[in-house]
Amino acid sequence: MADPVLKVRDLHLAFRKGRHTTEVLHGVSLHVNAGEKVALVGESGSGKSVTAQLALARLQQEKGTLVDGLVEVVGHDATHSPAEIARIRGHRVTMIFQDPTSALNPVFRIGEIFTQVLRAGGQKISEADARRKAEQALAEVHIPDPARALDSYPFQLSGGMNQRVMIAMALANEPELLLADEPGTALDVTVQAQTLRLMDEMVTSKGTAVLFISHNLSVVREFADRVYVIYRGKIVEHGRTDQLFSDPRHPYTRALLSAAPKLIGGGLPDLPEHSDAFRDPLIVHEGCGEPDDEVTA
Amino acid sequence: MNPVLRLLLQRLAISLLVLVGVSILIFFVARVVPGDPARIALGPNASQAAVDAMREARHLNDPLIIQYGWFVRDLAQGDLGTSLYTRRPVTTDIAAYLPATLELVFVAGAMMILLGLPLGRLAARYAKRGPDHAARFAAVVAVCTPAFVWGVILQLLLAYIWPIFPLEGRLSNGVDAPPGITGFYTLDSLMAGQFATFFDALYHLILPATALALSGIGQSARLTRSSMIETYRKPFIEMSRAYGFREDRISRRYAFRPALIPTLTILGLDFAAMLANAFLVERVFVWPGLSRYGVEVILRKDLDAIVGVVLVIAAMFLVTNLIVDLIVSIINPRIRLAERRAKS
Repeated sequence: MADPVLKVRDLHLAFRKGRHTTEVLHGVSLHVNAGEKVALVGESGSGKSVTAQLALARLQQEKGTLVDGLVEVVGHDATHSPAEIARIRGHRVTMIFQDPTSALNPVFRIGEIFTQVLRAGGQKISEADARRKAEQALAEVHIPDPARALDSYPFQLSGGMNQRVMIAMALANEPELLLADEPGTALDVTVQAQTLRLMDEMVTSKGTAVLFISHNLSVVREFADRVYVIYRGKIVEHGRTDQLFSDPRHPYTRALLSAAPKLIGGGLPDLPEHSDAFRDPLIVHEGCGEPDDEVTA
Repeated sequence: MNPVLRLLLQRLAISLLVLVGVSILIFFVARVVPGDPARIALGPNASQAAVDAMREARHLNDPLIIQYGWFVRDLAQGDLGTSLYTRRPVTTDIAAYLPATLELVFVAGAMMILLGLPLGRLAARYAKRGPDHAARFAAVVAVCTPAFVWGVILQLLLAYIWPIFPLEGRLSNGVDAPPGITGFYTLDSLMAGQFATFFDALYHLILPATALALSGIGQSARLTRSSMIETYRKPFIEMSRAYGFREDRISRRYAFRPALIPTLTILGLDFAAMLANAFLVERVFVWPGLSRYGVEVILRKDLDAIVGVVLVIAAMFLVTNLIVDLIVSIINPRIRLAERRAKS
């Protein structure tokens, strides 16, 4: 089997401020194979977003960040040589954000930003070629008038349109890995569903691997091949999507599943904020080990 | 109508209203302040008859409202009255002194923009590191020291101890003023092809303009820095980085331009404030500008001249604000395209 496009082994992360150190990740391991769609699910503050930021090498150089363990992105070591990741950002690994409208620079036309994206990693492309490629990419995400969209500012387009633009930008350079950090959470639910379906179609047809970060289990269920559940900086359960949803074994996963709103029998579920059982050790479903473990096991 | 044009017309209308308000205010304030302008103008030895004659000629015995009526009638004909001190029409005096001040203020303003903005940009880019600490310290020192103190310090260091620059004046002795077209010696000498005069004028400008600009440079650096640092936290900058935009391109373009929008409005006010600040610097450098003229006419209760000077300075403030609004609306597409969005 080929090397995974994202491999995280025993990752520890802590932030130090003055004499105070806060540990955020306690030995997270996960992997995403080429073309695979993997979800990382957990509540806010569980450490899902920082994992993505570490994969993009966006945190390593910040002051007071203590990183230990391995993060390997398409064969580049993000923990020890973040500069290498900086060179592959935007074309071999890209990212989609929560709120597309605030992720696009408000005082520049979408066309200019798109050209910059196409030039990521020092790729040489002329203004005219970039324009043509951008129009084509926007047409692929079903934007009705690509030329007009490129001449627009983000505030002139709807949130859904901006999300389509974001998806087009994320996939324009045919990356091996796409990090989707709660994509479209800021959009309304129907538009979010539409754009997620679009993203799903696009990555499937292009064979792009995705690390999908979310707190929304129903979205994950439709989208992901495999799921990692993260709780307070630790992976607590890992399995194929069907395994995890039909047979949730970890107390925290079960709590998370019961927290999903139901159509019938409404009302908010009574969920404990914390329970000692949530700290139970990692549960791995059959056939889902980390790549290195399989060799030793 | 084009939104930018509409905005400018709106602002222009408001500016005119402000100008009318200022004229009323200064007209009455100048007259309410005690002291007889005719007596001051003619001196203590003049006869009471001469003073009375002057009061009558200048309508100073009429009720204030009537006086204001005379003033408005003259103003409509472009006449601001006659100075009791120079005995020339106020418009002539202003035309003679204003260019010197404007030249000084423009050069200082250019320094403020060309040095302050890049300094703030670099400080933000290297925030909390060496260059930032150095720039912030320098900026605080620059902001906290009044312009006339800088004037004296610069004179002492660069004109007296190390006589690199001239101590005072607009031109060296023996250098004739260039033919007056704009009244800016640098521009006039260039247009007349007198390069020696040009360099002499420029040479004389450097110290007073620097003294006037230093606090503005510090202020604009501080504003740019804080606005840039705020912009750096925005999701669209995170996006630029996630997509591998080069860091110096982000700093020069993608973070700089959004950060400029809130900064510019305040800088416009700072720039206009230089006009008023200039009078102490003009005093220190014996610069024949409007501010010096303004101080002298106020001390002499030279009514027409006071009103004229204040009106001109107020008009400069308003014009500066208008220009800043125009620049901001060009940078900020939300203003420029406000209408198109409403339609679609």
